[in-house]
Amino acid sequence: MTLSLRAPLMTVAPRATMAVLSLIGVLVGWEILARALASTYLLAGPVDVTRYLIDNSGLMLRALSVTLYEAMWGFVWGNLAGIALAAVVVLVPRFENLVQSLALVVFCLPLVATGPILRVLYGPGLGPQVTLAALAVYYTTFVPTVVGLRATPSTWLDLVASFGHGRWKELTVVRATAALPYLVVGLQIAAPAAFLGAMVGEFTGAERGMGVLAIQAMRSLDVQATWALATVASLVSILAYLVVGGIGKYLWPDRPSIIMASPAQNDGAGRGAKWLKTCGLGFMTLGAVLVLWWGLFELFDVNSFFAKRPMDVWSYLVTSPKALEHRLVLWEAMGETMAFAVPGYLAGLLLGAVLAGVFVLMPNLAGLVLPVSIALRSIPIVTTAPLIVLCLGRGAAGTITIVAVMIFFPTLIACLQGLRQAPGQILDVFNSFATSPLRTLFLARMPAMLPAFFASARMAVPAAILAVTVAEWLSTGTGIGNLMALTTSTSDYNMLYSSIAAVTGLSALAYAAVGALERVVLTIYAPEQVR
Amino acid sequence: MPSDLPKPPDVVCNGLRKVFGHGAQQVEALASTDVTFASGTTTALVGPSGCGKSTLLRMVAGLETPTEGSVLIAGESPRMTSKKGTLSVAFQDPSLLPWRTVRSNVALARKLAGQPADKTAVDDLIARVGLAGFEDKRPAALSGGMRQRAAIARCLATRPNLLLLDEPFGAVDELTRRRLNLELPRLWEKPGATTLLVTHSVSEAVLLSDRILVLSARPATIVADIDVALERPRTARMIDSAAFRQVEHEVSEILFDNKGAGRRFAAE
Ligand SMILES: Nc1ncnc2c1ncn2[C@@H]1O[C@H](COP(=O)(O)OP(=O)(O)OP(=O)(O)O)[C@@H](O)[C@H]1O
Ligand SMILES: [Mg+2]
Repeated sequence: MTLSLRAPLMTVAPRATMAVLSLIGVLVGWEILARALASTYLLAGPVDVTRYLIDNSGLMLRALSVTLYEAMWGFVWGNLAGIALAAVVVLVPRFENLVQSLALVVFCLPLVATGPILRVLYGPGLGPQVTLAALAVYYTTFVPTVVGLRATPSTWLDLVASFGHGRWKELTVVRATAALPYLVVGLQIAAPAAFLGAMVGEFTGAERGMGVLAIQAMRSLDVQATWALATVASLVSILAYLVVGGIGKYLWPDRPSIIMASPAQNDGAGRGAKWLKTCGLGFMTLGAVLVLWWGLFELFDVNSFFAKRPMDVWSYLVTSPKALEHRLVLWEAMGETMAFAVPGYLAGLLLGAVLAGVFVLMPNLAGLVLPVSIALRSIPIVTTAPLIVLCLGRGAAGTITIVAVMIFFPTLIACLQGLRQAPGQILDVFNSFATSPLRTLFLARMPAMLPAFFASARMAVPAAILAVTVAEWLSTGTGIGNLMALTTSTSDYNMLYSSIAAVTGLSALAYAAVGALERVVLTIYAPEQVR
Repeated sequence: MPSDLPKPPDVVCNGLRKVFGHGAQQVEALASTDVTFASGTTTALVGPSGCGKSTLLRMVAGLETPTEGSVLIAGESPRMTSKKGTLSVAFQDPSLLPWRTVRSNVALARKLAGQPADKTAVDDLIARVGLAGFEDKRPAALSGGMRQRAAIARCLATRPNLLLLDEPFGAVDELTRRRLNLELPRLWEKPGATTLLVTHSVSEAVLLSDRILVLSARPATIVADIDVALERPRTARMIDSAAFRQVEHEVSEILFDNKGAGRRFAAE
């Protein structure tokens, strides 16, 4: 049969062989590279890494158990929060838009700055790391769960209604069942993300854990330790991803195809009205954020020296005599950050999409490289940031690479799924004219892939910000991440809060902008998804 | 109409057989079949649902590789014919590209067949299937029947001389279906393309074809080969004629007799 990618790329048995082959390939390649570059003191090969792990097994196990413990509780709390929020959205549709945008704003909080603030609030202990892990996961659970709760076949709902039951019954009995497969997808993404959150929490000043060791290793240029820690972090992420995915697949073999639906619904209003509505929602969200920010701090009566209120930031940036100076510092740092984040973001997206296309044209290559890519996709690259900093240095290259790689793998996998989504019948049409695979790729598969690509691009916005701020915090000495690190150590909380507000606002706006673009694309390329 | 156009091809199936799957999950869709579709004739394939009609059509189109036997279109393989762009398929599902307008979907066929763009011909064709005014609409804005008509326009846009139609009117309402049935032969100006038509409607089969093949339940075998000796062009009045009803009755009889499989089959 001619190239028919409608079917999975290959059957199960060769696929497993391919996975093993590519794994061996990676290990051997890595070892060879490490030996070839031995003189540069940048790379430790698998042999060195294994030796290090055996020699320091006690230390590593203790650190790993701390980080896993934090990640586990973060996973639990974050997912509970995500599910609860999703339930609120479905139960009270009136607040749907507001809850969704609030959830997004909180997700856009820069974890590197949230960590130290939480540390001051909580005092010493694991609390901040657990909270960061929860913050890293709740949104990616919230979004697919909402989609799932909404994906309930309307005939089921009619059935419940015909028995005279209300919304609550509808939610608990019918919608929850329909949403389970979607929830599993969210949980699978959440598993490595929780680990990431815990690691970032440890990067920013914890006492114990993998992240603490990684920072120490990076600062002391301990190549073996850096590689060993990055390897363990990666393996744990992959394992978490596979285990949750495996359980999900066992319980619900049919996976939904649309996982990250577009943020807001198309309610059929005219264009002008829609803009007005969007702006209204924006202001409402801003208001709600300010009220929550102020209200929570007041409610818990936290010290106003390190818990700045919205009014403090306002006066710091606008009304105080030195406001202009403050704004300039902030502006400059943001500029530096964008100079890393934007090229990295675009490069990651572009590479992901292009490589997905190449894989479709060369299914054999895909069979070899795909298992590795899927594994790498589940590693939050930020957990290995110390390693990239070590290898690529503290300049632009390292930071841009961290951002690009962070975005590349999820985009690649999303695009591959999108490319396969081109309906078989449409491919038949192309096939019936004996169209070349390349032409089919451009005329049918690429357009059909666009929805997946844009969903990925949207989710990549906060990921890019996270990656760039972590890299700057760790190493570069420039940008907003560095400003946050600096102001944390000098207790310049006014500037710290201003930075957080600026990054969060920008991140949320960029997310909304990509989401708007996505909706335009969806109405053309996947009209059935915008209802 | 240029007169130097090549004669429509004949289609020869030699011991054609198709088995899907492996081992215990094997499904024989088409039992070994020898059949020839003469140049310029229209043959209707009728048979119970799931018996293997689409499979036969897809093998002729080169979309499915035969397990055994071969298809020769004017002496050449289906893939060769596909490459020339002289073969056109209308699928059971309209399968329009959702991001392209009706016009652009229809024009796409010409592009894929390597033919020059011809906006007037494309618009003309769209008008003939009753979609004038919808040229710039995307499929999502059309009804199921309208989409299928757009798919038929796309199928005809390349002026194929081998037409493979898989229930092209499946989602079209009865009224439009009648109209299109009567108009279909006039839709492509080049008369006498070799046509294979899969249909669930016996009267449509009689109305459109020169010959009707009745297939058995899966695996499909040809259980009857009936000539439709009605004069052309076929008209609406003919449907009520005794000769028409006679053929219709004959086909239905065989279909319903055939191991009860035809019970699932809507005779009209
Ligand atoms: N790709 C495939 N893989 C496995 N089995 C298939 C495949 N395509 C078709 N079949 C099987 O082959 C048989 C014939 O299918 P086919 O689509 O040819 O039926 P059909 O006569 O066109 O039916 P209908 O009138 O409902 O369209 C069916 O039992 C179907 O399950
Ligand atoms: Mg069929």
